[in-house]
Amino acid sequence: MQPVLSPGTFAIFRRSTSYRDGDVLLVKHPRFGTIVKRAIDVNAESLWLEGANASSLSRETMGPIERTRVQGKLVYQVAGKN
Amino acid sequence: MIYSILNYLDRKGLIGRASAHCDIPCGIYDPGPALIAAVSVVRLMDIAHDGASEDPVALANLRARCTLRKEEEAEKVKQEIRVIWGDYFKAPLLEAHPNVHGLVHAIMQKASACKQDVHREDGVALVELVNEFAEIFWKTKSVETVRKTCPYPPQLKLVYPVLAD
Repeated sequence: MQPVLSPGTFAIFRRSTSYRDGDVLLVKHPRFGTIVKRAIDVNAESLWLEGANASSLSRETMGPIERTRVQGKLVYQVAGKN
Repeated sequence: MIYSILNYLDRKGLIGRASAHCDIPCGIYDPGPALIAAVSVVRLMDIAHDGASEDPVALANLRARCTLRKEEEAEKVKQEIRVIWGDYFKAPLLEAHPNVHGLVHAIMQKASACKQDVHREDGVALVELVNEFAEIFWKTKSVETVRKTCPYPPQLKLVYPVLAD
């Protein structure tokens, strides 16, 4: 998710009932485990994900995500000292 | 200050982890692309040196293209090796192969040397370093390797895995 999130960053997520395109979400992905990606094409039942970096996996690879798999959206982050 | 507190809590195991980087843990790692990129660096050096065109503009064009592609291939070597070293090699593998750190550093340095100049010996040395890295990588997977001459210019010896089927 660089440049949005750098390795080692502490991120705080808040549960929500409403997610919008562009939200950075914490998702329990059925194949890739607990991941952080940006929401796109959010609708009532599902949404799609994309990375912030050009070399991220494609949205098609990550597939449609059920809303119930979303753990929360990014509200605050504390980056390490680089 | 806040980071220090969070870091302390993290060390206590009180904070969950999530993968946010680009190479999602799909578990697919292979030094093959790094080797191909390394051997491409040598090939591009050869083409740049052998440019036989009598047209100075065409020759300048050829060498400019070679230099650009050499830069990209050398950078690809660094990126591919960094990802395997940083993401695939975990503590137990590093303990079993303590020379990996030094080897990766040598690859970074040699790839940079290949970008900075057109000394063929640097390119050949880069291929050899990546060969050594590939041998260690396949060893961690209990896969035997063999060194064979690649079937294309510059026909250097490359490490290939001997797969069961």
